[in-house]
Amino acid sequence: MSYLFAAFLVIWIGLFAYILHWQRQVRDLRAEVAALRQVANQERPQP
Amino acid sequence: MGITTLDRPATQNSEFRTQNSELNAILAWATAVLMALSLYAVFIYAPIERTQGAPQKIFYFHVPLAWDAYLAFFCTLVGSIAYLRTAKPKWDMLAYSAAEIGVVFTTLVLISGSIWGKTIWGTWWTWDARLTSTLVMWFIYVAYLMLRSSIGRTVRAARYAAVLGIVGFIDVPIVHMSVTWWRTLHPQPTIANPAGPTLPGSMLATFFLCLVTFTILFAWLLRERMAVEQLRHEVDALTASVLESEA
Repeated sequence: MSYLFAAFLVIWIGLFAYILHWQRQVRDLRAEVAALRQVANQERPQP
Repeated sequence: MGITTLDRPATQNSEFRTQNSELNAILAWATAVLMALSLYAVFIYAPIERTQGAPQKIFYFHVPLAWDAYLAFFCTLVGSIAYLRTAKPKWDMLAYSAAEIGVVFTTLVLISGSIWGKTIWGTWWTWDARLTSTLVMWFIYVAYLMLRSSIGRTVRAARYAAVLGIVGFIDVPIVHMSVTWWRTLHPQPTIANPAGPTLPGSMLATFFLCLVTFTILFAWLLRERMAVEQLRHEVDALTASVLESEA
């Protein structure tokens, strides 16, 4: 039974680690997009 | 030259993202509900197999993970062929995203299979045809990811990777057929058997529930991973426009 739980634990930890990894990437990229948009708007000549 | 051209106009990106996130939320909820049902079916509903005992239940997640890996590498093949034909970045995003997910699933297949092997064969690893060809498949797609990360997000990297994504797929049918072509320790197919599935009804129902669950999980992961690529392209396009206006 311990092998069964070990296998399931590994699968779950693997999947959650992967999901957390790209969710962090999404958060960082969204922040980068927002910052770049702000810079782009500031540099645009005012009418 | 970097891939900085977005596949759709920037004004449509927010609308696309809203539709994208709605469908992704549906897929995420479907995965969560089906995963809970699958766990119930695996641990409560499905009977314990007579010869292998409880570790046989690893099968219900091990095989769907392998199915997802095949599916992911097939998406990489389709994305790679379409990218070489059309040069549209969306196909490259599909190929790259699917390859990464495929590597994650193959890693989990190898680990869960190794744990299962320890209980049944008494060893963590053996140079059996199925295990070896699966390891080769893992190395091919790890090489694909290394190629992408070493050259960067360039058209050249996308083209080289597309070629590797097409050539690398040759190993996938070899992995699948290895148990038929060679004498292996790994069991013969119990579901995709020419004589029909050899499992009793309750085990078969549990297996198909897990297969559907993992297929939906794959669809969700792929869409989310492609959204990451979309964001990376958006960052590249914005960086280029900021640098252009500064120059």
